[in-house]
Amino acid sequence: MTQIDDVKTDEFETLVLKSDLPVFVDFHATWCGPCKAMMPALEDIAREYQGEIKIVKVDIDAEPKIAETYGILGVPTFIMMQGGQAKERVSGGMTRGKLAAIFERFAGEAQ
Amino acid sequence: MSGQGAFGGDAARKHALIADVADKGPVYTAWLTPAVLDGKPGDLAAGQGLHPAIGYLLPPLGTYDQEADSGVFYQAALEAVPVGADEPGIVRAWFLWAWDHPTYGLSIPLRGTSLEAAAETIIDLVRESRSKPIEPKRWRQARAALSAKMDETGLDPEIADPILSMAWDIETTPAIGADVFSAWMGPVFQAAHTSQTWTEADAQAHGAKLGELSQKAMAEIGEVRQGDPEQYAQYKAIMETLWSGDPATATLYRRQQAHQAAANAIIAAWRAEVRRGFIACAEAAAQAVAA
Repeated sequence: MTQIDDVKTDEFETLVLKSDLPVFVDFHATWCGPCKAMMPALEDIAREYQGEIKIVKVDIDAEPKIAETYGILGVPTFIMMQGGQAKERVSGGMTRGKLAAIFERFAGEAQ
Repeated sequence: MSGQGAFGGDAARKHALIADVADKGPVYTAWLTPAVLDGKPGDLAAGQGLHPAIGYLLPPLGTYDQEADSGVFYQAALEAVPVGADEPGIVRAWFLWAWDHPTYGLSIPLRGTSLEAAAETIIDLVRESRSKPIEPKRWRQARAALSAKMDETGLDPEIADPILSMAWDIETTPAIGADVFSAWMGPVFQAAHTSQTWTEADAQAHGAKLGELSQKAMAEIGEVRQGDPEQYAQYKAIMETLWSGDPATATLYRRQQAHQAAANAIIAAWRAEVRRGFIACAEAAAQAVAA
């Protein structure tokens, strides 16, 4: 199993905005069932694209400033960040197929 | 992993599980559902001697149901899985069955498009994986090729989603069966709700009216008691009265009910077929066990 860490507000700039790799940010909440249901898929994807794309989580209740900055209105919402910019944004539960389609676009650029 | 195939190679374990499903009856309409919500149905299935690949696929096949007959399906599905069977092989066979189905086939929307060849490469890998392991990089290359084609063409990504969801090693990524089911159901659900007689404007008008009437009903009920069946029955009775309050509202309600029933029937027909396909694939695995 690949660990996906929660990022705090004071780490966001270093771990996400200044990351050399693209970062897929999972905006979630502890009370959100669909967010929990997505975890096995995210762990599989993290393992598959290890070293090419990072995945991190942001708990919108614990880190409201980040959620506000990115206008998160519902969870789960996912944003692919690259070079400090939000490049792609999707919401709701997703299959590994849909996740892979997004990741392939950015993994290609990283290689 | 079950190690010795389905039910750990133990017929008594299979019969005990089927008996348990029969005994618990309606409780098993939600079989594995709490584990699905927690994202760990594979662990629960392994505890029952089932491979996680089956553990992830059975809940969506069984529980996305309007008629609460999941228990009947689970019993039939478990009966069909032979003791000692290669369970990932059953799921792979179901993928291939889904690709080739004459009515609902996953190949149908891709035919004649520029995605077809890349999708067929993935299907060939699924076929190959039935007899030997596939190197991880070949799955990855096949996914990358289909994704790239999809980006080039601008076709609806929904048509490629089930195929991209199959393109993983099921031993290391056993949840892909549930993804394929979900990706397959999306367009079926959308098509079922697309109707000449029920427009987006109708749906919005119904939603707005539902919200308005629901607020009135809640105000009449007073304090909400969660999980109280009597209060819920009272709420439903009030809503029925409110929906028949004036001719326009009553007509909107009747039309929505008719649309919902028609859509449910379309989805139910598809669901019955994909369940039948799973059972057929499981029964076919008996030949491999016998050999």
